[in-house]
Amino acid sequence: MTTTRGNHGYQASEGKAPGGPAPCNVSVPGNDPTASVDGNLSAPPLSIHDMTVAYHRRPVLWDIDYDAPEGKLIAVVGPNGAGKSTLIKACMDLVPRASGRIRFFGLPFARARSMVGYVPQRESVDWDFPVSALDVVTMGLYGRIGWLRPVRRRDRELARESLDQLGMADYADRQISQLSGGQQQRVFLARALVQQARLYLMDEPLSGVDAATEQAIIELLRRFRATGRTVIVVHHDLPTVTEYFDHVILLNMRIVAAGPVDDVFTPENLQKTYGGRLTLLDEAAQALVGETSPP
Amino acid sequence: MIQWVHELDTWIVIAAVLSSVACALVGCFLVLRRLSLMGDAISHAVLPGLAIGFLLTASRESLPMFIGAAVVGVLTAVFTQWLVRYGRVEESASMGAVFTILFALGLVMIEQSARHRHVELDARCVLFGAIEYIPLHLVQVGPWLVPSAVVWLTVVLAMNIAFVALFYKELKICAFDPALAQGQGIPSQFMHYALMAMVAITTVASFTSVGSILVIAMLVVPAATAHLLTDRFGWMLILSMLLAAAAGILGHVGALTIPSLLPADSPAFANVHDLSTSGMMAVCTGGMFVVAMLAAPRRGLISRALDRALLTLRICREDVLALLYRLEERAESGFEDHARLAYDVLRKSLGTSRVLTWLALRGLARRGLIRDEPDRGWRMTDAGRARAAQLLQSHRLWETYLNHHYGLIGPRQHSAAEKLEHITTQTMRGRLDDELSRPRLDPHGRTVPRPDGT
Amino acid sequence: MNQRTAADHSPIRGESPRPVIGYRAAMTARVILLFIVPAVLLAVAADALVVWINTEAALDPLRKAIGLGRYNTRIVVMAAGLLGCAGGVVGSFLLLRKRSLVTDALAHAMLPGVAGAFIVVSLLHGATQARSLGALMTGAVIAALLAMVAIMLIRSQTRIKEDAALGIVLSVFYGGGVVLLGIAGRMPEAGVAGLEHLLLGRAASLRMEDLRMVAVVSAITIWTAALLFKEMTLLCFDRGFAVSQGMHATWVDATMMMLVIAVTMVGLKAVGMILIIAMLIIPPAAARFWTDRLPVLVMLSAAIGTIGGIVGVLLSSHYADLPTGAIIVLCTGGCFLISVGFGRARGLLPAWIRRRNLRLRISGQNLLRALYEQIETNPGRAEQGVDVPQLLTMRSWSHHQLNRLIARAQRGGLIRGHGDERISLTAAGRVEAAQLTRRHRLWEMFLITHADIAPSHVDRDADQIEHILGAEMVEKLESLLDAQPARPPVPRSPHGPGILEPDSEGGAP
Repeated sequence: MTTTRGNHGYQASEGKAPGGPAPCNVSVPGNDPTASVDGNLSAPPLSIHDMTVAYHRRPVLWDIDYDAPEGKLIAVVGPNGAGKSTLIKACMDLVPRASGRIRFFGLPFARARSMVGYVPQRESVDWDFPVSALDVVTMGLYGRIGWLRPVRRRDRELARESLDQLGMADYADRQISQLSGGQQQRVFLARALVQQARLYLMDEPLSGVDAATEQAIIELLRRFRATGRTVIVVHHDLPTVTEYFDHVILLNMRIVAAGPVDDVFTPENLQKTYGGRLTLLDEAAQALVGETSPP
Repeated sequence: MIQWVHELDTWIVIAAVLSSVACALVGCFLVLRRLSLMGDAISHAVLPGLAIGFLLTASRESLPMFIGAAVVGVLTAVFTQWLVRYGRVEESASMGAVFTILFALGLVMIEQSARHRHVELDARCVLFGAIEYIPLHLVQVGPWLVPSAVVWLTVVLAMNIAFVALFYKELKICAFDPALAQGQGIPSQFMHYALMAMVAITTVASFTSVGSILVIAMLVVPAATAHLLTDRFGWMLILSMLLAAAAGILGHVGALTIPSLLPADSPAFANVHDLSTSGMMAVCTGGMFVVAMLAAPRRGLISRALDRALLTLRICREDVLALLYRLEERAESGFEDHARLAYDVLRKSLGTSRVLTWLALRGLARRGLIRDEPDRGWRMTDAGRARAAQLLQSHRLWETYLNHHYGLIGPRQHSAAEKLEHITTQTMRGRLDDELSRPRLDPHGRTVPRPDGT
Repeated sequence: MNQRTAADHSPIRGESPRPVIGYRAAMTARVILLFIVPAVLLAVAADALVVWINTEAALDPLRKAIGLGRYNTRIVVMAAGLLGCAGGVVGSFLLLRKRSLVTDALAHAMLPGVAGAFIVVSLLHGATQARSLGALMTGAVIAALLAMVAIMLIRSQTRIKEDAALGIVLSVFYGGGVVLLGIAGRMPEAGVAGLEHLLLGRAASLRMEDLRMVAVVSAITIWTAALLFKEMTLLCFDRGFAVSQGMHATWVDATMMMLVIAVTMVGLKAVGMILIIAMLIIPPAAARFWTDRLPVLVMLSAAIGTIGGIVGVLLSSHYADLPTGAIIVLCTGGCFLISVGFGRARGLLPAWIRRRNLRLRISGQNLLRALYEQIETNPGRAEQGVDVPQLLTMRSWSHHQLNRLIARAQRGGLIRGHGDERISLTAAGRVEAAQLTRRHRLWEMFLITHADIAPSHVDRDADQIEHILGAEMVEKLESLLDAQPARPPVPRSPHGPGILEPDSEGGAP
């Protein structure tokens, strides 16, 4: 492999994607002409090409190139300020990009929405808002229900089911500020579940939750994986990475390394990601890698 | 007492109700999205749009006026956002800058036109509204003569209701979590501007009735009051409209009645026959808010204070029981006969106030847990003894637990256990007991009672 | 010099515990010496100055200089100028404390105070007394304080957020004011005309006594702000830290709000309570577009306020029937618009130019680097040129963008075209591209080797990496780059296999 760009994961749809970045009008070798509106199911769930994000003059993410593998649980790991949340938000057009092309299943985000679920950080909403847990979960269906159509009983049943799957059926009618932090997170997860997406992007779903919730969330993630879905999770807790995830992206403004946990989650790479900050954690991770790697 | 002139006062009340209900409906979204001040800004800023429309048509209600207002309203939101995004000016300051400039511009235009054209839109109308003049401009609607303001308000209210009903779930999701909405293909930015346009249009429609400053009361206060009263989004919308309607009615009735309550013989108030209806409407919404703040179920100040008081009382009752139990224990082990207690002794050893102690004793007696024996003072009944044993069990188990796990000793351990014992349930007690493998003695060497007989 | 005195008089407690009584006495002495005495002196001086300027002796040269002949205009101009200055100073802190619209609520809330005071005093002493400024101002201040308490109560005791709390207090108080004003207006010999002018301001009605009040309050306000400069700055920036440093944050906060209320109060008659906040918000917001330094901000904001006030009043003296407040606000607003457009630090035009330049530079650099990498992997291309379609796949640019970039680089003499959609680097271009690529790879190496501190240092745009990292560090990085196995010498990308290749790590299907 001689160059780093141009010959992997580049499956831009030739079509005139409305709202997407202007497609090039030069025929590019390797382009997939079959990419259709329904998405190219053989395309990776998320493909980031040459993405740069800058706040004012400061670059936050540089030259990100990444293709997510299908059907895996992927952790995004990196020090504070490494741009983990920004990575996810920029993919979903929530943060403007300076450059770069994002494709979900070969489609720009605007057309792949129904296939992508997003779980924001818990602090991003007003928990005093007058809605019940069930309402919040039902909101996951609003996009699918469509304009000018009311929420029907069937939708609410779906929402209740997914709450039930997270062990939250008893709290369906509680106002959301009366839930504990872990329960609030579960409501968010239930909302993601009800979206029936094929790719999930989650922003720190495991931060500040109790052990029971953490287990419930991990179980849900595994169930997602079992049904062939892909989940990308911003994660902060290094010691659990090997236990919970298949793949890992080590991020520090750039992708330091990405790939299967066993190959990538090495002390050396962690050192490259965290630098001197990783004195204690480093040792812990080393110990973990030693334990989990095959003999 | 009230001189109700049907042709005047009925129309005034109708206009007041229509405008305040229309405002309250869009106001709910402002309050929930933390955009109340944007409502403030827009209501000030629509003035130039209004003035231009007015200069074009010389009427206080006309289509150009509404279009102008909607445009200026959206522009206010856009400008503010630009200032925040590109100029990095803090949001409230950019709002302030934008709306004061626009308001000043509108004011100059209005004054100028009032001066030269002798028309009835002037600064007074901006400042106080002119609801008293509404019945004077009638238009023919079918068989009836209806004030033109009422016609326009009805149209705007219907529009607002239709807007909210049609886009109910989009508005709700955009208000709660714009990022999620965006992710589902609901253009939250567009909904935001649509809402701002609705606010501007509603503001203009209400302009004659309440003026451009008091309209803020109609936008914000009923919605905030409803927010205090309910946990359901749909109910909040309905409740805020009901409250707003009530404020409209009460406002006008109050404006007519209150002058008769002023000292009639005082020459100072001889000419005060009625008050400003729009001002009274704002005051009424304020009154409702205060009432809700004090008396809302669960979250109101009163019910919270009551909850706290009841909790204090319960803790005091339990303390009394525990004290009696401890004294009995000592008496049994032959120290002294303190198992009989006079009220004053009790109060002193608990360190509680006179009233609280009295209430606690009464409560215990009523529940049949203690009784006052004439010569022996307060003594526990069997039921009381069982309850007290549970408390003491919790207390001593907690002391053991804290000592065991955190190494707490002495007073700190005691005070922590003192708090914990009041919130310990039966199952918690069981688990504690199991975890500590059923200790017989606590760290101070006192027996852990086992009232359940285990 | 202000900084110095402020330091002596700091309410921040020292590290070492001091004997309480001595400390108290010393503190009181300091407050008296450094604050009260100078403030009184300043106030008296301002007052005397204002009076003196209006005597004939001073007037003659002044009249010739600026043509402020008419007694009334002179008074009004001076009042508006002083007000703008004080408003600009206090407003700067208000802006940074994110309290701009609190002032709006407080100003509106003054209406019931004014109207109520009028009613009460005229019941007790008759209407002539009631119109005296002192009574009305007292009422205004009381109402503003009540409003502040109400805002705090709503915010802390209910789930209602700050914005709605402000809206509630503003509108309900104002509504009460409208009702009271209605009563006051019907009272015999009501001076309501005067009261209503407090809403929108009527500078023409300003008298000598009003001017003196404005002068005194402005002098005290500016002096206090200067004394507490350091404390208020810290408070605005980080209240939590200020408290942890032992500062009496509540008192400084309260002082700040008192200054705001004072300026609002004396501004009522000239600008009116609806628009007075413009005097506090717009000048600092405008100044913010020019500078990022607080002392400059405060001075600039005072200057903008003063100019806006003076120009506004002069203009409105020509159009006597227009509300002066509105004209003043429009003049200040003009300054604001100019600042938004052209302000050096944050103005739209300079920012747009900067962004455009940055974008062009980055994409130009990307083009050179892409070419360089192509040539590096296949040196033959240096002569034959590189396929443009080939370049197109390397980054996320569109054909159109790429063509424009190429044209730009050609004009700059960095690239030459071979026709047939093939381009290559000129000699100058090669040097430039080599430097760029080296710099980029050095930064990347830096990110890898110093991951912990890197994010705060990286400035990919810096021309001289050595300036930021120091020559020593750069040398070290270079040797690291060279030491990587099986690579041509610097510049070489660390994008090679094994370090950051998503493909090789199972990224692509």
